[in-house]
Amino acid sequence: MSLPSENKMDPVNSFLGRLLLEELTPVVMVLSTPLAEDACQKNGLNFVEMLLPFSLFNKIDVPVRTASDQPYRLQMFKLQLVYASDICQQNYEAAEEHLKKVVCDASENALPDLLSDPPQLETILSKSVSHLCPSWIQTFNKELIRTLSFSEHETFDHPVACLLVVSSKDEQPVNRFVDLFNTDQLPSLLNDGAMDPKILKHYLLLHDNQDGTPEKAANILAEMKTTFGSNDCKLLCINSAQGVGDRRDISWVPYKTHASLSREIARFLDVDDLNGIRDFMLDLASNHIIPHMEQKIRILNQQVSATRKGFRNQIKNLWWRKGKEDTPEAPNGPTYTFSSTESQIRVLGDYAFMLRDYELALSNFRLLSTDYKLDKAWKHYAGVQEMSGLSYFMLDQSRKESEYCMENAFTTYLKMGSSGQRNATRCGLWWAEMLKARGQFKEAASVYFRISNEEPCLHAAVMLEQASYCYLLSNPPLLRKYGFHLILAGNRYYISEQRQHAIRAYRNALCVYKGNAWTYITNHVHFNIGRWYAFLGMFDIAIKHMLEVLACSHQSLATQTIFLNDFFRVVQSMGKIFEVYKLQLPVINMASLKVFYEDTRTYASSADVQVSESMWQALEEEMVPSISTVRSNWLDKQPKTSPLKKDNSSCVCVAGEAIKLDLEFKNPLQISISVSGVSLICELSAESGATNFGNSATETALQEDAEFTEPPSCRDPSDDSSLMLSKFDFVLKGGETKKIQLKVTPRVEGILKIVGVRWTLSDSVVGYQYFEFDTKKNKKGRKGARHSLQRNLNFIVIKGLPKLEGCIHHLPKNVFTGDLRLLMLELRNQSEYSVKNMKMKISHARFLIPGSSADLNLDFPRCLEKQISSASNDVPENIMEKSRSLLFSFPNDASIQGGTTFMWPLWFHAGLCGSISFYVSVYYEMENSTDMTYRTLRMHYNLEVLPSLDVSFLISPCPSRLQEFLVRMDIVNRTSSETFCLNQLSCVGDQWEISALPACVSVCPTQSLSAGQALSCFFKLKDCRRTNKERNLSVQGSDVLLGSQGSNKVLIDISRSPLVDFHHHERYHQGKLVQGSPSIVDFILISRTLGGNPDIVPEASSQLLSSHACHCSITSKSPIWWLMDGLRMIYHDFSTSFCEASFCVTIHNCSETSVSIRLATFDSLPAIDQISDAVQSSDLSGNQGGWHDVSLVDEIKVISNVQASHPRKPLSESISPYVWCGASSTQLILEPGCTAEVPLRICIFTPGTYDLSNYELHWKLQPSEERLGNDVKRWSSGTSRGHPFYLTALQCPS
Amino acid sequence: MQQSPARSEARYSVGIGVADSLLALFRPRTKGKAWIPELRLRGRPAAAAFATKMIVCVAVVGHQNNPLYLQSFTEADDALKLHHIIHCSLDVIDERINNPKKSGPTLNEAFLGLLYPTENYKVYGYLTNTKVKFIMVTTDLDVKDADVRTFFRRFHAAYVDAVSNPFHVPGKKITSKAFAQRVSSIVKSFGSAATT
Repeated sequence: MSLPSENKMDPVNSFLGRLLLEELTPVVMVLSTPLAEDACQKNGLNFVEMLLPFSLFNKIDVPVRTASDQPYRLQMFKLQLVYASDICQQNYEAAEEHLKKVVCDASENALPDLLSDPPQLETILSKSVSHLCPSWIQTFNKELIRTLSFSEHETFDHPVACLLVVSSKDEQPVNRFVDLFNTDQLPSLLNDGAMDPKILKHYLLLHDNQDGTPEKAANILAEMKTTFGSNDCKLLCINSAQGVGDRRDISWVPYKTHASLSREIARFLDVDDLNGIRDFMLDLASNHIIPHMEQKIRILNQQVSATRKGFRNQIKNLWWRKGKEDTPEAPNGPTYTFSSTESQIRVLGDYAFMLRDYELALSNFRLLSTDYKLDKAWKHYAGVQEMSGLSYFMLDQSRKESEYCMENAFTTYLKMGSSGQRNATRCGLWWAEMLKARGQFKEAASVYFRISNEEPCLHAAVMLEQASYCYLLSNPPLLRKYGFHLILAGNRYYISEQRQHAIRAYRNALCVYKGNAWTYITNHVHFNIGRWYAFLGMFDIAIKHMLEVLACSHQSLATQTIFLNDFFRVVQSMGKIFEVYKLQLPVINMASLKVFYEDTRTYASSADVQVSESMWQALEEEMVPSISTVRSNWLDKQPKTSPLKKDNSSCVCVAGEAIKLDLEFKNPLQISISVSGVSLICELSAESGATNFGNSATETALQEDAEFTEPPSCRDPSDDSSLMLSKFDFVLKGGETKKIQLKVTPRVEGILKIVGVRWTLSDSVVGYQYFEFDTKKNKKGRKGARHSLQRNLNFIVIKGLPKLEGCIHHLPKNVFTGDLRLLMLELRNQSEYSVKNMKMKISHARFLIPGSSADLNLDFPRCLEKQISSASNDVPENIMEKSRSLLFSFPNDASIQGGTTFMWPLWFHAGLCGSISFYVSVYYEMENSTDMTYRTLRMHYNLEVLPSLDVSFLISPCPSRLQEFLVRMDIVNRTSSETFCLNQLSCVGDQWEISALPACVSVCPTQSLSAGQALSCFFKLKDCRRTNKERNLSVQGSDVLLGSQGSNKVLIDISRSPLVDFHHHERYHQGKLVQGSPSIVDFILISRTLGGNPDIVPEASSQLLSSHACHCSITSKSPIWWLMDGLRMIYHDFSTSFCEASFCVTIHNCSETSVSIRLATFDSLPAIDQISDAVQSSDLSGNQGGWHDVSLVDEIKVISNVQASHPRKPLSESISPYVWCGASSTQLILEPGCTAEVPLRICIFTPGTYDLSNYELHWKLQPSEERLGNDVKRWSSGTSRGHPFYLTALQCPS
Repeated sequence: MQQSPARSEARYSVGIGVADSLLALFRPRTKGKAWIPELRLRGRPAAAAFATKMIVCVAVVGHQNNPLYLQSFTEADDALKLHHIIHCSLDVIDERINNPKKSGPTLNEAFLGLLYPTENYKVYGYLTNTKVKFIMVTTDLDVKDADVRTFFRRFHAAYVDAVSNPFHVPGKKITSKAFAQRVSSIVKSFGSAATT
């Protein structure tokens, strides 16, 4: 197996390589006397600690020759010095405690880190491998591995040599040496046979220079040398110095005993001492331990070769193992004593490993693994697999093999259950390091993850954290897995009560989730970080994180409750009112911000403000003096009000008048929250600022940025007298949105800035938010000063001014169409100043017209009744002009004194049904005011006009008289429950006269018209134009009382003030709709409600309604009227001669163009019976009148028999009993409005009654140039058949 | 498993139970014999909490890896866990997109296949032309590939219909109820076509 060359790495320089070189080193067991220890303790160290810095040799450069003949040189070498009493496996609890301590210590160091901001993703990614993983984690790993030292199934940490230390003060030192190596004190490994008790011994005499002379020590050494042999005895002198320095620079202390660091260490060791120790250790390593190991390797290798190598031995071995299978299995597999072949091979392998002869080690481990496997000695097997995996790694040979070995070892350890679990962890750590060294970070992460499953919570947390770093280091970084594993680690840390670490893990994970919409996860992270910070007492940071989760509308109700409760608890434990910028609860909809203030424009009610400004401006156009025309000349000085106008971005408001601000608050949660003390944050600077206002505008803009970061408590208004702020308390239910109107009332002049809004959530947290405006957006998007979110909510407060308040009394919400009322406008002046020069403008004159002061005390419905004496035509001619212009000036003397009320009548007429909103603006000027000369009061009303009576008129020419018309009035009651009583019908204009048909005395059969009912009435309309030539439009028509004869109804005078005004408006508006056809006549129908529907008009029992139908035209479709006149009965003696009779047809042109008319008579009767409809049919066929005639003539012959059943059949029997004489066709042209007479004659042959309708009028319009509309074209020609005219000829007695 | 005293107060933490299942979730399934059967018993019995064959969760993730739609079909309160699963799966999807050589012949295919084989779940992915990812988590451990393909095809159709709605803002969460209904019906019918 060859490796890809690019992945070649130097295993020795990898982290794992160094770890193995440092950790898997020969162990020297130390046995020392108490006096020797005492000498060392003077330096604050024990003996082992004292030697520790010198047990690592970076450049020992010792030649080594193991099994092969080829020597090589060792460079780095390390010895592990361990007290004999420590050579035993730590019990589980102690190990746990020790590891926990490591984590705890690290958490204390991490504390200042937690105060800083969480790391950003970029900084994490840019970190190098070594910086990423906190160093304490490596320490933790090492300590975790160390807890497994001195196990039975591995020999690499079994002592290679024994160092016996006796102080020169000891009595009989030589005997002490013997005593020391007493079996009682020896570790169990040696005693129970796992280790060879025949161990290399080294004797050291420790001499304290403070206690005795070197000569004494030399004597003892000489004695020792004779007893134990000269090579193995050494003398070490310490404590030569006088206690001056501290040699902390040399790393004296292993991690384990760091607690004693507080004392001064190595005070009494001078340079000579240190050199002595160094020399001693070097000698020990290079001259004793390494040669000893070499020798042992060689011996063992020979033994192993003899017994196990070669085919014969293999077979033998197999057979032997098979035989062993029958023996009962020990729970941990068979035990192997030091003398067993397996143990010896293991020792051989381990020694070879420690002396870096990895190939030798590997071959032995492989040999051994099959044996152990056959023996089912799983722990040993796993240990050997582990070592062979490491050997493969160090050899940088087959990756696959090494990974397989590690995985095998790992799973085998796990299979053993709890006894192998920690070993599995160690194996996993090595495995992961191995993968990391090869750049397989993802695989390493999964190994860490597997370890974490087997370890207790705390360890699992550390492992998961390492896994997460591996994910981050993998290429490309798996950020999400990094985050996820950190979360898992944090959770584990928390469970094992390592809150600092938990916070650290979560904080690191935060950047992964930041900015993404993974709200569930971010909420969890933020919430837990917040909670844990709160546990640590860092409430401000806790709250900062908690705030992130408050607006969690997507969470379940229970979760929201938890979030909120915890948040409040944290805030309360903080112990002070906490101010939060941009608190998320409730959510403020900044787009909903609307400012309402009153400068020159004042409003009757807050609803009026909603009306768009352009609407008002259009209305007030003529009324309000124009602002821009103040300066006539550039030399003119600025008017006095200039400071107000110079800066257009500021608005003007009046002291004492409230500025209102609408703002929407929304509760995103499902639980209700209580919000209290909602108020504006305002600043009111004194008047002095007004003079240099122009400059300060730029300054304030600069200041704003700074201001917007500080909480409102810093800027609390010190003087409450100058400002009055409204405060609101409300409760928002789950998901509710409320619109709150906030008010601020400046009391003094100056400059008012509305900066933001503040509120208190559940009485514990103060939230505040400043109004920020995106200037760019405002510039293009908004229009109209009133509704825009101005760049600055700055106001110039000016001196108090009078302000009118007004309302219209008795204005109903719902009225019926045609309702006529008298309303009252009330204007109040609350201030002490008076206002003058009042004007008023009304948007809809069709609905509302101002009355006159005389109308003030009118008795309303009665005043309209026709007085017998009121014949005088006192209607002012200009009334129409006045009401058209819509601008109404109050009389000059009308001024409202301070504190008084002013009333003015208004006439109301509901002209059109539907939703109507009309606007009234009252203009007034102030006396003695410099800042503002005028103000306007704006009123806006909406009302619903319900349909009442639908009136339509059909006027058709009377066939029998020329100047008379039949009028059919169709009335439908469109209401649902109201009953109307018809009062009168009037036609407007003095050229018309309306009267009831003489046939029916009572015009309409019923008095009233209940809901849904329809009624038709007929009237006669007479044209009086001939008699009265002047065309006067004044309303002075004739009236017909409707209703039964006996009723005592009174006629309403339609020519009186409000009615005639409204009629003009109606006429104007309806005239827009009916264009084209010549308008003839206007009708006004007066009716009253009978009060059948009390819920609509409760206050008035009998309402007066006037329905105006204007521009009614005569519905005849033919432009001409004609009438045949003549004798109806003739007495003639037919026996003598035929009878001659003459008639006259009067033709009138009622169109507006001249008409050419041809009157044609014919003797044959038309076969169809449509004589009366002929007009209509000719109208239908329109331009094709000629064709119509032809078809009729044809039909006569064809279908004459079919007509047999027709009543007129007798007439068409034979030849006609009469014939027309004279010209059969007469042609004439009639000018508009002219009348002409055409004489006709007939000859009658037999007596009888004859219908003389067999003539036709062909007419053709002669269009003038200016009238070529569609209507004219349609009407351009036609044929009308004669009206029936019956002549009875009687035989007179001769 | 360790029972901690902190559990009672840690009402809204991942919780031991959830964490355990999370851990179990991401324990890679090892192939072959190396996995030791006893170890399985130490974890939760596989998929005991869920019905035998069902989709636990489906998600639509936008091309900026922002969740557009995430619906779980379990009764348990495991929204957080499923969010984590979906979120982590995105890493695998990213990896797959960036290493097209692995997918080889399936280069132009929307179906990404099995993303995450875990002990209790299988996570499948699907990538549309507009880089919108569909992720499906199922408890059905021996699900057929064809079933998953048909599921994603139908899901894709439903998604296209949902985003074709003129009132849908691209890149925002899908709030359409019709879509949710349709998805749940697709989820319900998952696998049934193959069995019948």
